[in-house]
Amino acid sequence: MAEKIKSLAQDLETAEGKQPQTPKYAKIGKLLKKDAKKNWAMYLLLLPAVIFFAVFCYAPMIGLLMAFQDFDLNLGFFQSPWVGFKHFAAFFHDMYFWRLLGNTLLFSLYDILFVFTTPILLALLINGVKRRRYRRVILTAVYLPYFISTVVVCGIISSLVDTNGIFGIIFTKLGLLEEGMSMLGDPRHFRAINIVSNIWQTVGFNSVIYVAALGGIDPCLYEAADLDGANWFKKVLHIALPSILPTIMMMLIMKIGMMLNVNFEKIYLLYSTPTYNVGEVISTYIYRYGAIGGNYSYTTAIGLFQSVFGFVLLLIANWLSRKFTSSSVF
Amino acid sequence: MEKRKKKYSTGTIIRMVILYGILALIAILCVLPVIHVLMASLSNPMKFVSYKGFLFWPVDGDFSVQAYEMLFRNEYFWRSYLNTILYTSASVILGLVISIMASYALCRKGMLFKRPILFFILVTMFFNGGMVPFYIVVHGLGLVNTPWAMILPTCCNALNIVMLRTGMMAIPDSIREAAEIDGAGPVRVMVQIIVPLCVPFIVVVALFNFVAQWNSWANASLFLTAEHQELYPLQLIMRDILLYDNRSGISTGSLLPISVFLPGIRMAAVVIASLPLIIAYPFLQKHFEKGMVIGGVKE
Repeated sequence: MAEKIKSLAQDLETAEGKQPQTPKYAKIGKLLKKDAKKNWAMYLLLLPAVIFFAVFCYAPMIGLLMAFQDFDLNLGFFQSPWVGFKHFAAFFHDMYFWRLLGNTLLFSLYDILFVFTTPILLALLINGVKRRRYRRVILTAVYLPYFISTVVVCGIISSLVDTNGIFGIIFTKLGLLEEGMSMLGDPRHFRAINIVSNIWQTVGFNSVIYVAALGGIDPCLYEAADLDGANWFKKVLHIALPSILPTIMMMLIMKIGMMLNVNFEKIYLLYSTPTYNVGEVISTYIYRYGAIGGNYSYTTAIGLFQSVFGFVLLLIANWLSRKFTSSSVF
Repeated sequence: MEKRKKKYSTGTIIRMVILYGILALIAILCVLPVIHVLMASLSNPMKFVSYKGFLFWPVDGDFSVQAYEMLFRNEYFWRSYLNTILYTSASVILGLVISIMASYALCRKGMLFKRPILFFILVTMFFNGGMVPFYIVVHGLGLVNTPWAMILPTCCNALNIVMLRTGMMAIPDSIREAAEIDGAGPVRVMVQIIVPLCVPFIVVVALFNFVAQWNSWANASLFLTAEHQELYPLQLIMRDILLYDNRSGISTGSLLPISVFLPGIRMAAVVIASLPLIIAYPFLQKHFEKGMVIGGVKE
């Protein structure tokens, strides 16, 4: 491609130098014609993909402008009246604003503290296993939950924390749950259930990338450390962790960028009136009141607020990471 | 081998026992809920409903397929099962066709607009319009409450194209050129040369999409309203059975109230709904690992 541009530039230069009477655009037009003649089949092959992304990715992006409209499904995007920042203002004054923002940030924080870190620990443990077969067995077991659908996971959770479920029984015995109540209806346990089941679902699968990174460490480093008499903990601290730090930072920055898009599916499936207070996050609110409830413009504004906020967080995380660990996504 | 054995000191052995023990514990914790569900589904539903606690074995060692029999009488369940098979296969195949064609074109040298188009596609990895505008677009296309709403909107994504393109870039140009000298046109080169050479990558992409489509429910619950239950994919019916206490369509063939059997039927539904993934699990595990590495390298 770079060559192409260079040759194009050269073509233009010679065109200017030798035949000043030929306008530039004629040359470009010729080039376009040549490209179309040579590559028309390729452009045809690209057409379905381009249409797909235009319709299902770019059209919704343009549709974000709905946030500045009073969108009406019957009027359509082009006829709906424009209202400026009305919906943003309404959101900031919404009685649920702080609850939504607080819950969202809390869920994201727990997510980073527990769901993000456990795969790294697991990968460090797995990396200590030298027997291939044992390693394979462990990996097979820990990946399994990842492939179970969200709906089914929620079904399993509700069965396990039910009054007859093992967790329901244990928590009732410990006095942390009223007799005959399901843990899902108890606001005290709602977040914990979500986070613990998130760990269960993703710890194995998310460790893959760290296991791969740890496998790439030069064994000489370990041998040198052995000679110096370093123990396992020291080797982890001074060799393994620094070696996979770029991977960790990359994943962390991506995670922070998407931190506000708390996985809404599970919360949405599990929460109910007594737990709205602790469970409602921005994305469940958008799903419930916007996509299903029909408050399109208002929730689009909330979604836009969330994306912009998320993007700012991403930039900050990226900047901090570049400053302190000299690794960054961009 | 003997030399290595001698090197293990007592401390090393203790450390290894602890490490292997902890990992075994983690692995067991990951699998336990699955075992509970399997055993519960194989229990007598009337015994399971009043059973308290965890199951390593069917209640009272009483194997019974009664819950499955009751589930099989549920017409909604089967229809949604067929729907999901249809939606998943259609969307995986369509997605593959679109992304194979696109990634093939995007590996060709000397295309004037290759960079801009690649950029156009990659941008969608990082930005999207969010749930509501997406719904409005699908609604505007008239797809709501049609099977197409389950097939078209999510059949393809930028990551698929990135992964396939990675695979195709690894194929030496000379192979393609040789075929072209022999008189094969670009489409024929793609179908007969390039596609067979990157089957491993195609399998990875197909499996990623298969799992995502099979397990998805959120889009379905947006795009299919309750009046069109005959179009429901499996996961929506599962949601109704597992979480919404919706008993429509379940017939037990017994005079006892349905709530006696429901917990057992739920567990049987979980097993049957996850069956394709369990069968495909050995493949999935292998190829997902590969996919993560391909995707990770590119990111």
